[in-house]
Amino acid sequence: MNETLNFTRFLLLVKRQWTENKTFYLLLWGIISLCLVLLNIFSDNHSLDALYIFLFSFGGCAMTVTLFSNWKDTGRSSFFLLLPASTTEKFLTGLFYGLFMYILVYAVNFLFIRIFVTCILVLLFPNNLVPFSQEIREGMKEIVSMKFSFYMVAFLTFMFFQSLCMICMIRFKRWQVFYFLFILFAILFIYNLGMHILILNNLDYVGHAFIRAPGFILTYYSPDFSYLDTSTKVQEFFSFLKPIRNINFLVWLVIFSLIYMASLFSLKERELK
Amino acid sequence: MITIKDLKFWYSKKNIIFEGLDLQLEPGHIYGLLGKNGAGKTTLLKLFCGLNFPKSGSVSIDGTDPAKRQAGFLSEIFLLPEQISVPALTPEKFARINGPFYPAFDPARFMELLDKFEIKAKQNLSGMSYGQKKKAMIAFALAVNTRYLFLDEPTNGMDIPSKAAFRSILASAFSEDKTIILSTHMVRDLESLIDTVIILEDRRIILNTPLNLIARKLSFSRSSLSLTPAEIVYSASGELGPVNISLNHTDLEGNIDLEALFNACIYVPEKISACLVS
Repeated sequence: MNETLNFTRFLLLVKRQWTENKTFYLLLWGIISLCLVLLNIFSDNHSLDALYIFLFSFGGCAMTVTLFSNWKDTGRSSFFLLLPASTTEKFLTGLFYGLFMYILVYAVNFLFIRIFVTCILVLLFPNNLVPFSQEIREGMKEIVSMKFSFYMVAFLTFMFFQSLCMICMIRFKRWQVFYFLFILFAILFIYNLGMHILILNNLDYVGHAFIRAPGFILTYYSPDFSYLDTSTKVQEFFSFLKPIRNINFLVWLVIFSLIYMASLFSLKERELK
Repeated sequence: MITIKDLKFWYSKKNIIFEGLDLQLEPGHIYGLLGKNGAGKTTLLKLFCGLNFPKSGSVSIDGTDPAKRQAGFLSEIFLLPEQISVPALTPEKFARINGPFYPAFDPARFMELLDKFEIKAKQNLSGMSYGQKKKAMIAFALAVNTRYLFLDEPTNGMDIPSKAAFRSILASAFSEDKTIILSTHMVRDLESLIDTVIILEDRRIILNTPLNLIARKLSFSRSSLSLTPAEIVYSASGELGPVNISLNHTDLEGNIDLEALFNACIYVPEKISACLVS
């Protein structure tokens, strides 16, 4: 018997997880869909892009909560920990739903809703001179032509939230959501403060552009300053930093992967008090 | 075989649960684990399963360290905790998604046990009473056919007919290759089931003895007329009058009053040990 990774056991865990939580997953899918419909209707020229990213990230956190949040319930948590499957398989089930499946479903949902909302708008405003097929084409083109950095920022933000959520869910017995939010905001605050001091001290002439940038938290958190900050001056200033930006992506990717690894080891070391 | 060597365990250093604890449990027995509140019965069961890790010393089951929680090891053990919490599923569905993890799981036996406990297979567990949930989980625990079965206060929340059904079901499920450990406060519910009694007190095990040996060595009587005060090892007050424990001078194995034995082990452990080794 392979003690660490067995595909049959992994599939059993996936099936078990779905059967136990499908109502919650469907509800979450419904809420996300509704939010996407509203965002698609009201977003104008990327002004609400940060909200898309937050919605995307918090949905992933909610998925994570279902698998690792029952520690204070000794009955369920002991049953989960003693279920004959390796810790790696149990952890991978969390990643399967919280990362792989969630991103897939979110992306399909996003495309479907964009088409759906366009249909509704065309039906509601039949006098629109732009033909329906062109609306759809434009919408799809926009998605495809989005800068790589946008998807990277979205993905890294998602990983940041989800990996932090996962480790909080596994390490703490109770008040996990509180700890998660506390640590999240503490990191963002320290990071923003650090970036703010660095930028204001070294780049005086773009300082004001940063301060009035939309999505202020993400502006500093984001490895790609040019995306979220609408200031052309800032974009121009950082345009020469593309290689640094890509290294920055990579560094974050490694850091978040390490947090996932730490979560796995925490799960292995998890005791029931 | 379960082996514990020089175990030390605490949740907080100010409150050490076990210190220098040694224990060896052979297969083919139903052990009754007794102890006062906070003595560490549940903790010991968790250490057997790998839900808690020793601070020093070792715990091993058939040579495997439970703390590693390897899949193969986990498929040979089942712990039924005192607090039952179940998902909003029917017992049938619960068994369908969890049973396949256990190689020896017998779905037909599960249905049969549910029937004996008068639990409906298609009723949602979340809508059941605590006792019903417990019975459904006991049915599952027995149907998975693991070699090691740990039951923490199994009769808690059960009605009287269910306790009787539980005793007969557990006795019928037992075989020589299995080890069953029952942790309980309610000794009267289970005294007919267990064959070896383990008593935890003051961070260690003060008694780990087969009941037949105890019955050969000690006599439990409700009347003290035939006994001189010097002969009485311990006198425990009971609902039906005092129970006197004395040395058994006959070759016959008498009935054991587990509650009286437990009290005697707590209050006069040296006397009881001396009687058992004599």
